[in-house]
This record gives sequence, structure tokens and C-alpha cells, in this order.
Amino acid sequence: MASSPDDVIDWYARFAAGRPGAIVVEATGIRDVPSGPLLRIGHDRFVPGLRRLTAAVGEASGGHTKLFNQLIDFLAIRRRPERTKFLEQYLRITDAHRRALGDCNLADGEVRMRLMALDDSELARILTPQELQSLRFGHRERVTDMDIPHIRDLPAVLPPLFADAALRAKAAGFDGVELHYAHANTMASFLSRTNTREDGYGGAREQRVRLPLEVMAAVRARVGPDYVVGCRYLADECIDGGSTVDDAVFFGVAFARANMDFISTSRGGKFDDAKQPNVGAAAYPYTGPSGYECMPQYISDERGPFGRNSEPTAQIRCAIREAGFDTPVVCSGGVHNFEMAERLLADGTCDIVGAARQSLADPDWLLKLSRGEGRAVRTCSYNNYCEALDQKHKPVTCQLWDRENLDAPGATLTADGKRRLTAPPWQPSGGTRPSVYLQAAKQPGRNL
Amino acid sequence: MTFVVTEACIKWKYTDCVEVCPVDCFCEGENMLVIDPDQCIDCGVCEPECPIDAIKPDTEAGVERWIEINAAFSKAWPNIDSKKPPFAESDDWKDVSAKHEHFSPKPAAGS
Repeated sequence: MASSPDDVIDWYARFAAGRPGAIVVEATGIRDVPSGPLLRIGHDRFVPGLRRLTAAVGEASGGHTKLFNQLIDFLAIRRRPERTKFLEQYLRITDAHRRALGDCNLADGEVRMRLMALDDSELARILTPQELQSLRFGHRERVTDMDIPHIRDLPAVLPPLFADAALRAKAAGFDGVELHYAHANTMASFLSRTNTREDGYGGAREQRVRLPLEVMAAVRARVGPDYVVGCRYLADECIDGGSTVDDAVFFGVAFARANMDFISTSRGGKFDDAKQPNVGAAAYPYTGPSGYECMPQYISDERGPFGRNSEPTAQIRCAIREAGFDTPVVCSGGVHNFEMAERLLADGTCDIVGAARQSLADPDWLLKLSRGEGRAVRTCSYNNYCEALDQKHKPVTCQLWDRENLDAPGATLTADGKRRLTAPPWQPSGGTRPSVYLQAAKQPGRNL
Repeated sequence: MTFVVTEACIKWKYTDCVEVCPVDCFCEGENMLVIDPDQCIDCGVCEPECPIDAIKPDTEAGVERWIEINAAFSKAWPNIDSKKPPFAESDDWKDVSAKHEHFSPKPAAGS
């Protein structure tokens, strides 16, 4: 994301200028710990800055755009270590290693020396799967690491952390919060079928959804009954042994029953099948097959990067309706024009359509559609240039406009001066043209 | 797939491509550039930047040897992420099509 607070504010104000119905501000960390380029809301000192953000969005959209903050918790992940360093320092020597080496009296240092002398296949036979994973991908904490106290205690720790963060979001002027239960973060890992915790928070679906519901209840208690609290979670984890749409249907109904104000779906984006990073780099959850499902690009199968989550989302929404709840469901994924957005609403897939990359390609696209200027929409090419920049922790821009009019007054540029940070402004053509509105805007009950 | 730099780049090395790569995946040899296939994310932004169409998808017929050269030399040559003046002899070489015997395995000078 963008680097300075002003850049972050300009970034969201630019989206707001296109007057979408709502913007969900990127994942914001709920703990008061350093977290790289992530936005944070883990302490009251972050509230004034976030208030500037909400004020800027309100002004830029003329009050038309609702603003939500996505709240996230995540566990530690380390960079992939050098083999020597891992065996010399990081690996915790155990009796299992001594047994495998055939000498139970070896000192730790001696074990390390012997392991270092092994070739990779011999080493793979001695290390546990998780140790091997730490060597090959970098160490990653999991919600199932019950021998680590702060992991074991997550069910006690997280509800008040989320509740405090939600109250700060409210104080900062957000219209609501979106609890981030999707992709590779802590809450998503509780929902995952790979969660085998035996403390009542893992195993069967009813147990895996328990903490997400307890977090929801704590947040609701803290922010009051009238504040919007929704969540985003996976319609399918898209990994071997992961949660499928059947799990997602169960969770969706449970969230609706718990009075979630909206339910938003995503897909994939897991560490489990991520590409092996280079030494010194961290694994990234959007590099494997599940990552592809989350952010598919133009080199694709016959479906293309369009609507890969539509059918699963429709199933979830259908189950929620059959259970008697009218919770609005949000679907996204490759939505890039009026026809596709309208179809998702008309065929009952969802109640609200979301679009990230298309909105980056053209923050004014909805405004253009509503004014009958659809031909002026800059359509996303789905080459994932933006996502690549994000992966490299560079300011995210769109290839379709980031080298346009670099010397225009008011254009702010990246530090190297090569790219503009926000889309060039759009001037609607004059006159009174017949307007076309998204169908959703005219239908009762679709008021979010 | 990824994109690969092919024969046409030899003794040309115009470096327009490195300016636009979002993941800085170009590496610089003495007289040509290559793309690191482990870093390239297939966005294709560099392809139209090359003034002599040296950048091709690795699925294109006839680029097989360049796939190997890109893979091998991206591990040996230094990364390049900003534009440089073109190769001194480039104008003399831009219309020469068969240049592969002039490929230099050396890294960029000064690295």
C-alpha cells in the first residue's frame, strides 16, 4: 500500500470521489504491535489519523459512500532461513533428533553438526513435517500450536482485542467494521478444516465457528446494537483438506443467526499451497493454486478471472434465506462491468457487488455507469500488476493509469517519480443525459 | 508461463522494460537483459515497452533456448531496476536478426 499517512488518505479519497456505495478500508491490525506496511488500529493513538481518513472520504464522496474498516489479526511468519542458520540457531533440538541420529546422549551442538552434514533427503527423514516446513518456507505459527501459550490462549485474547478495535473504528467515524475471517489470517485458520484444536475451538464445524462467533458477540456488545458489524470469510479454502462450500454454507447460516449485518465472501488465498519463497523472503499466500482462486489473472482456464466465487456464494446466500434470514450477502471476484454486476444481483447470487481491481483500474466506473458514460470506463486487464506491487510492498497503482500525466498539478508520485499514486481525475461530460442506475439501488431492502 | 528476453536484445539492451516491471525481475548481462522466471508474474507490462519486440511469452514457438538462458543467467547476473543509457553499439545492431553467437555470458560491467 501507499507509504505515508497522507498517501493513504489520498488513496481512499480518490476511490470515494467515484462515489461507490461503500468502501471497505484494507485489513487493519487490531494489536498494538509493529506490522510492516499494514494499517493499525490496536491503540487509541491511531484514532485521530483514522478520523482524518474517514473525514476525507466523507468529503470526497459528498457523504454518498459508506466506509467500513476491515479488522484483522494474524500470527507470526518468518522469512525462509538459510539452511546453515536454521540448523545452527533456529531449530529446537529434541530427543527425536537424537534418536534418529542413533545416539541419545548427544549434546545439542553435536546434533546440529551432524544434521548439517546430512544431505537434504536424509535431513527430510529426520525433521518433523513442521520443522521441514520451517526450513523450506520459513517458520509460521499456526492456531494448532497448542504448546505455545499465546496461541493456546487465543480464544481468550481475541474477542476483547477485536471489540476494542471495533470501538476505535466507531470513534474514528467509520460506518461499520468488517471482521476479517478470510484467507490466511488467525480467524480464517480457526474456521479452517485444518484446525484440529482439541480445546473446543477446533475439529467439528460447530467448534471451528465458535471463536468467530464469540468475537462477533464481543464486538457487538462493545459497539452497541446499531453499529454495522459484518464479516468476510471463505466460500471455499481451495486447498487439499481445507474447508469447502459445505462448511461455508454452515458458517454463513451461523453468522446470519448471530445477527451479522452483512456477510462477504472470498476464496482461497492460503499459505498451505503457497510457492516456496527465496531464501530471505517470506511465503505469500497468493502464489499457489488457492492464491490463484483468490486473485485470478488473465492467464487462466476457460472460466477466466471472472466470477469464480459466484456459485459458492449463491449457495451460501440460498441457505441463509432458507434458514429465514435476510442478511445481505456480498460477492466479488472479477466484476468489471454493468452486465456482470447486474447479473449477480438479478440471479440471486448476492445483494451487494464488490470490485477491488476494477475500482483501482477506474475509481469512477460506477459513476460513469450511472451517468450513461459506460464507454468511458477503463476496464481492468487482470494482469495483476497491482497485486505484484503489493506483494513487493511497493505502493499499489494500476498500470492503466500510473504513468499518465505525471507532471499534472496535484499529481503525487512514488518516491522514484516513475508512477502516480492515484488515478487521474475524471471530468464528466456536460449536459443532462439519461441516467442508468444499478438495479440494486432501486430495490427495497438493498440499503447497505 | 513467464515472459523471456530473446535474441533481439543482444547488443541493444535498451532497458525501457526494467522501468515498468512491478517486481523488478530483470537481470543485466554484459550485452543483454534476462527475466528471472521465478520472479516474473506474467503481467506482460514489459512486452510492449521493448522497442524491438525482444520480450516474448515463453509459450511462443522458437524461444526454447531463451527460456533456458533467462532461467540460468538470472541467477548469475545482477538485478537492474532503473533505466540506463542504451548499449553503445545498439544502433549498429538493431536490424541484425541472427545475433545469438554474440551472446555474452558475462554479467554487466561494473557489477
